[in-house]
Amino acid sequence: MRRHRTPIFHFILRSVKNPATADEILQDAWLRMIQGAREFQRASRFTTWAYTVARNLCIDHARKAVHRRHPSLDQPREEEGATLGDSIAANDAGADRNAIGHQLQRSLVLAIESLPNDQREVFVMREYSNLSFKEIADVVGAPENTVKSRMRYALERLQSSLVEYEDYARTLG
Amino acid sequence: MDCETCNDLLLDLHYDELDAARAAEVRAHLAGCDDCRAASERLGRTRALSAKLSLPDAPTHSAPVMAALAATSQVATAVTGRVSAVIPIERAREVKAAGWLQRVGELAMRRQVAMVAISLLMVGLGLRYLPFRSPTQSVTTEMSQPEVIPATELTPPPTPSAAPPPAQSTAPSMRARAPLARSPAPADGRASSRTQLADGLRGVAAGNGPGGLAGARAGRAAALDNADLGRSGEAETVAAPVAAAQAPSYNNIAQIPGDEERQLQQAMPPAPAPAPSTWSAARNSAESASSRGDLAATIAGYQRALALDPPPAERHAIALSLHRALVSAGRADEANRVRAQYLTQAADPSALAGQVPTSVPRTQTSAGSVQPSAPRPASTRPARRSNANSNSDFNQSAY
Repeated sequence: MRRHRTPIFHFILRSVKNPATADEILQDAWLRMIQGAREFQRASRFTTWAYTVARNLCIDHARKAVHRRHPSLDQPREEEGATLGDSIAANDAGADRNAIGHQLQRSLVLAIESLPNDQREVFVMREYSNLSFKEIADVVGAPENTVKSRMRYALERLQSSLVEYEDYARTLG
Repeated sequence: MDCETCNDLLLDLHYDELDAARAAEVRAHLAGCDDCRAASERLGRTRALSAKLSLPDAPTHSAPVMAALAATSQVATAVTGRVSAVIPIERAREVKAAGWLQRVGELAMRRQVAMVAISLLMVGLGLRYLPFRSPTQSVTTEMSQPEVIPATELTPPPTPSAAPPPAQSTAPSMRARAPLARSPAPADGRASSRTQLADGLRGVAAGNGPGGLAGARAGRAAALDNADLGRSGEAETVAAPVAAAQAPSYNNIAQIPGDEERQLQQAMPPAPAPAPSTWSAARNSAESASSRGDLAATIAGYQRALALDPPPAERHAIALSLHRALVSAGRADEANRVRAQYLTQAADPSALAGQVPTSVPRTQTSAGSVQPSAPRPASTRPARRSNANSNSDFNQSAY
């Protein structure tokens, strides 16, 4: 579980867009995994099962969040495009650690979070959690070809969203 | 390999999900196809940009919690997997009961439950302190603050059959209390029976056990007797002093135990229909019974109407109707008594014989009584009156 903790947290964070909420959901997912450990079928991989639990919790949270009115800390503000969490916390240490600039980080986050849910979850699980397409198909309950199509659409959207970083990306390649 | 197949496998190639042979085929196609190679390069650049996103570390403050949960899970798994068979049943029940208590506690702490509890409390306080008089409080108030009635107002009724109260000599002090504690003297037997029943209940309230019950029964019986005879005077409070003198344990009726009250209700016969309170009502009921053909009720109604002391003119008409009813019922002796008591002063005694209903043929004897006989010839009958119940059958001036 310790090995999957950060990728699952990132998967949850990209879904709920709030670190505190993501942490709560991560703990909840961990608790449910413990409670349901006896029902866990050895035939399936633990990774697939863990992501399935986390995904279900994210869906539940999204359903409840429909009725909420308060703004999210990660919700972009209209006047400047920065998130409310950025203006409050002003903790850019994580971004400064990266070689790429803070602007690319923010653009990446916005581009990923602007993806449709089905494309975003496939992209995150494939790109950052390193789950195979077959495992992703097991998690989301869709055929593998469907998962690949969603992944392809997600990459095309990201490419168009990050077109301003095309030159920078060439230097990386 | 064509471009379509290459595009389908491009994702697998970039994410290393192709076997070596298939990957070699795709790379060979990419080397000779500019479009597919450009698409693959675009895909590679997007992936390179995406890989630059730094993954945020999970919060460290939740790590101990999760580690503790994991440790608990391991212990629980070990216990439940190996030692569950030897866990005492009592311990398992305790755990189950604790869960039940927890659920009850959660239910009790809900907001709706609290609101319902507060509402019930307010209703209870309102019923307790608002000036609301329940029937029980009414009886208690009557006992605690009796209305004093001068003895001169308690005039006996004009009925000749009023018997003196037997309890007057046995319990004079209670006798003095009980009649004065009742409400003003009722005007008829029904009200008297109500008062009598209340006195009986007071007897139960005052008596602790069979004595009180007996007093209540006696009071009930006396009330019924009074109601039947139309009494309204002092005989109605006979039993209450007796019961009060037997066992003075309870102070008011609110202290009657539930069992005794239930026994009293079971021991008492159901209350009969209220008797008419006035002579006119009694006569109306008798006439309605006559129209129904209920001869016994007709006779009883006329007798009660006579007992309620009607005016002389009405008394004559009622007596005449009663006489006819008795003759029709074949109760010649009672008919003769009615005749002797109420109708002997008629100016023309023979007129009475002429008013015997023709539906039941009678013959008149020398003594004025009537007896069933063979039908009289029509030519010998007197002239038929139009209204059989009318008092015009007799000379009113005689009364």
